[in-house]
This record gives sequence, structure tokens and C-alpha cells, in this order.
Amino acid sequence: HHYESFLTGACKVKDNWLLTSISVRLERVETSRLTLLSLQLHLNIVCSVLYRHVMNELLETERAYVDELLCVLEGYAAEMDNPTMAHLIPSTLLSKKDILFGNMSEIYQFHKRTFLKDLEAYTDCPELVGRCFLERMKDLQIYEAYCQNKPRSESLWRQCSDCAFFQECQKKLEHKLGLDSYLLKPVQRITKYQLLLKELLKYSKGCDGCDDLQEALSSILGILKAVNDSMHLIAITGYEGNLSELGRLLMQGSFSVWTEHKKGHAKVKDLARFKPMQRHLFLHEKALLFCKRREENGEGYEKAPSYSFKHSLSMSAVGITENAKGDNKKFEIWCNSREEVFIVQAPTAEIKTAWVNEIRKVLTQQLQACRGTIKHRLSFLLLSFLLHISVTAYNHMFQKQVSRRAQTLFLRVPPATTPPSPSGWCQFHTTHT
Amino acid sequence: MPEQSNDYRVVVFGAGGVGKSSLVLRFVKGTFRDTYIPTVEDTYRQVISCDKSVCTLQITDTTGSHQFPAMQRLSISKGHAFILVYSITSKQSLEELKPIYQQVLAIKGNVEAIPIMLVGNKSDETQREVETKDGEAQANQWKCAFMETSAKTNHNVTELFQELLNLDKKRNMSLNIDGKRSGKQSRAERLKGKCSVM
Repeated sequence: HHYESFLTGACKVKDNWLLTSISVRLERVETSRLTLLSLQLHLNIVCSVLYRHVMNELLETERAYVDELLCVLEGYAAEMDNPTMAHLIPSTLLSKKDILFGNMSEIYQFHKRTFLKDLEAYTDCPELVGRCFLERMKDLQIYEAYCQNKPRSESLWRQCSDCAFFQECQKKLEHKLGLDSYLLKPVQRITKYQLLLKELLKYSKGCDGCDDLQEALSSILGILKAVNDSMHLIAITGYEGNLSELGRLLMQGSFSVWTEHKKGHAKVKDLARFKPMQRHLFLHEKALLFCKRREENGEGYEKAPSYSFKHSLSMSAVGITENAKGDNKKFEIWCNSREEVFIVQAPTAEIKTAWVNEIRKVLTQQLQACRGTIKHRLSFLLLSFLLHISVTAYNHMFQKQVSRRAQTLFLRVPPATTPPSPSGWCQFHTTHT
Repeated sequence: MPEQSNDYRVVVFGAGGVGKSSLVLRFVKGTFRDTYIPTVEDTYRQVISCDKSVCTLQITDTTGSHQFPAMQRLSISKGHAFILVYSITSKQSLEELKPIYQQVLAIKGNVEAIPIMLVGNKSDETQREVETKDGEAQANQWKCAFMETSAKTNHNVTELFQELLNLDKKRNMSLNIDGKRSGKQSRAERLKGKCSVM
């Protein structure tokens, strides 16, 4: 617009013969402006061409992906139920289809029926494709289950990758690559979207869908982080309860941890002060788990770490001190009014900040949920209270008595039965030093 | 250890924009594109010779799982050999390889038996941030091989893959299907000063 108004302005000036000299000088400016303008235009065209390229790649690879998944499901998974192939299947593989393929068919159905169609709908307005991702973020969480199962699937594959059944299937499909390359596809696909979104963003500076793309990118990175975190969960050993009852896994990571027990012996306390424990922490919505990382003794593939469960804190019973004295990598988590304190040291200040933010979010949500239930209870009580007044307040002289009754009513609010219990938010306090 | 099969799997790691796809495309297809490189394939494939017979070299691109170690792990466990790529124009990209190396080490155990090549790509660029000797020093510390390449000018690209295959002492592999390690001597001469195998 600036250029346009400048140009029309310049034209008007040129019409006026009295201002010829100025016009000449302006023309020079104009030429350089025009060069700039054409450059700008050129750049815009290049950007939109490149944007189209990336959009094409997104669509084409999505189609190829859907086809490949179908190939695997028909050419391998379905063949496992084919009676004419039964004699080729080794006993280690029998009835283990779910382990080998995980929820691949769910992933296939989602991409075939929903996501590919959604993406195709944006062919004519590719600049808005970010919305497509935003609308389907919840669905993309199916990759968590797939990736969580992947190590089990891999270990099964290693046991029977050489068997005649797989060779026969691969031959029929005329695949150059073995099944294992195809089993990795979903992992590669879910990690690829963020790269494509980054590319799209690069070429859409200041365009309409730019904000959507940015939001889609951070959401998909969030999904990847969740998938990555959840893959650590499968390595937890020795936890008696059910991990799925602890709510979503929000963070996981390794820390140095010191403990303090008020009631403990002074000696123990002092010892604990100096020597930290190395702990892998798993923050869920409802609990924080402390685990000890163990390196397995196996060779190669089997050398995966496991996390043996040590301790769990209910998030409804903890408080947090965001800044521990003298170390910007430390924070404290405590319960029972600081009777039990865990001093946690993150590898970096950034990680500490990320954790503290996440814990604060959990505690704030609990507080709000708690307020919600209390509000609900209060309005119910208020209603019965008003009814009570209308019945009992026929005499102004009894007013005092009524309000006293009301007070006792409030005091008799039963404790919240739904989690989070009030103790959590009561203890929630933060100190800033 | 990965099963002995007809596939030899090479996994390529590196931060975004260091030229992983360009290197692999240059090697597999012999082309280089300056403007836009689509990462169409997840796994590239090339026929090579191995112990006097033919086998396939599989090159797995890991681009998207950078920063997500648990997912990256799935690719590492599949690999027989590893290429760790940084760009000589970015110190940061070399830094970002450190956790990846640590993970390869953790999963594979004894790295001395595993072929690993540290690669400084974009050697044609003049805006250098990582000196050749810094790359060499890092490779020395990691006990792995080192090479500088340019996918753009096709400098050291084929050499990179051949050297990687040479590093595997358990098999006798060559990019030439006839099985001869042709020109190995002269290549070694040419590589002097550019490549150090430790």
C-alpha cells in the first residue's frame, strides 16, 4: 500500500510541469523503489511457490503414508489370520498380533478417514492448513499408545524376523524393505509434521494463517513431548498401583534429590544433606513418582534403562517452594506442613523453571476445582438457607438466632469427596526470594 | 546386537538444517537442490556388496525425532552404523550432537566396535564457525572417524559412505557391486588431511 500511494503520488507530481526538476529527482527514487517493489513481489512469489511445494509434500507423503499402513495391515497383519499361511507362523508369534502392530489399525483409520480428507480440504487454501492440525490435536494422541508399545513390538520382531512367514509376506508385497522399516513409519510420521509446519511457517511470514501455523507447531511439539515422556513410563517397575489412574503424565526427568524429615534422627538428616540421591521423577496430574534409574545389564537392544519405584507423593497433599536458597536449579516439594521435605535439583535452571511452572499449574487447577465444588456447595447451602429464612424469619426478633444457625450450617460443610482434597490447596504457597 | 541380515542400516543424526537430507540425496540420487529439499523418503536404499555378495544399504533419516530421545532410541537400536552430521557454519549444531552420541553410547555400549562418523557438512561455505581441527578433536574424544563434506559441491560424499563401510571390521563391504574395493588406495591418498580415521 505504501508503494502504491507513493507511486500515484509520484505520478501526480510528474503531471505538473512546474515541478519537473523535483519529478526528475523523484523518478530516481521511484526507480529504486520500483526495484525494491519488484524484488518484494518476486520474494512473495518465491515464498508462495515454496509454500506450495511444502504443502504438496505434506499431502503426497500423507497419501503415501496411508497406503503404506494399509499395505502392512493387509500384507502382514491380516495374513497372520490367513489359514493357508498358518504353518509358516512360528510359535513365538502366535496370537501376538497386537504386540507386533500395536494400534496401527487405529492410526490407519484416523489418517484414512479423517486426517487425509481434512488436509485435502485445505488444498485450495493451503495458508490455513494450521487449523487442520489444531482441530485434530486430540486425535493425534493415539501415537502415544503406538510408541509406548514399540519396544515390545521390536523385541518380538527380533525373535522372529527371520521366519518364513515374514519373508513370504514381503515377497508377496514386493517390498524392498522389511516389515521393521514399516513399523517405524508411524514414529517417523508423527515426528515429521513439526518439520513440515516449520517449513510452512518459514514461507508464510505475515500471512493469514501464520498464527494458526505457529499454534499448530507448538501443539504438535507438545504432543511429541508427551509421547516421548510416556515412553519412559513403560520402564517403571515395582509400582503397586495402576499408573493410568494417576492422570496424564506431564513431565519426566532426572534430578538430584535430598530429603529432610523433621521427625527423623539428626544424624540421618545430616547425612542426607550432603549426599543427594539420583532420582527420575514422573509428574502426573495426581501424583509425583520418585524412581531410581537402573541400567540393565543386557547387550545392545536390551540395554534399556528401567526405573524402579521408590516413593510417591499425592499432588493433593503437597506444597511447593519455588526457590530454594542459593541455587537457581533447586526447588522444594513438601507435605504434612513441611514435615517431609524433598529438595530437588534440576540439571539446568531452565528445566527447573519448566517443572515449577508445571507443578504450579497442577496445584492451581486443583485450587480452582476445589473452589468450584465449594461454590457449588455454597450456592446449594445458600438456597436451603434462604428457604430456611423464609420459614423461620417471620419474627425480626429471631434474626440473630437465624444468622447464628447459618454460621453453624457453614461450619458443617462436609469435606470434598471428589479429588482434589482441600489439604492440597491449603498448603499451596509459593515463596519468592 | 542387531541381527545379521541382508540389510546394513545406517542411521543419520543431526540438528535441523545441517544438510542430512542433502547428503543422503546427493549420495543416493546424485543431485543437490539449493532451494527446497523435500524429505520424501523415511528410508533410502542402495545396493552394495558385502562379503562377496549383494546386500542393501539402508539409510534412515531421523530428522524429526531430534530433541525427543525416547523416540530417537527406536532408530538407534535399529542401526548398524551411525553418521552424526553438523554444519561447519554452526557451533550449536555440533553441540547438539553430544546428547545423541551419549545415547548411541548408552544403547550400543562399546562404541569402538560400532562404525560412527562425525561429519562437518557445508565445507563449501565461507562463514565457518567450527574449524576442522575442532571437529577432529571432538572425533578424537569420541573415538570415532571424522570427515568434512559438502553435499552442494559433492565433496567427500561417496567417500563418507565408503569410509563408513570400511570402518565395519566384521564385514567386507563396498559401494561397488563387483565387490572390489577399487581405488581404495588412491582415495586414501586423496583423503589425506581431510579425513582421519581413528
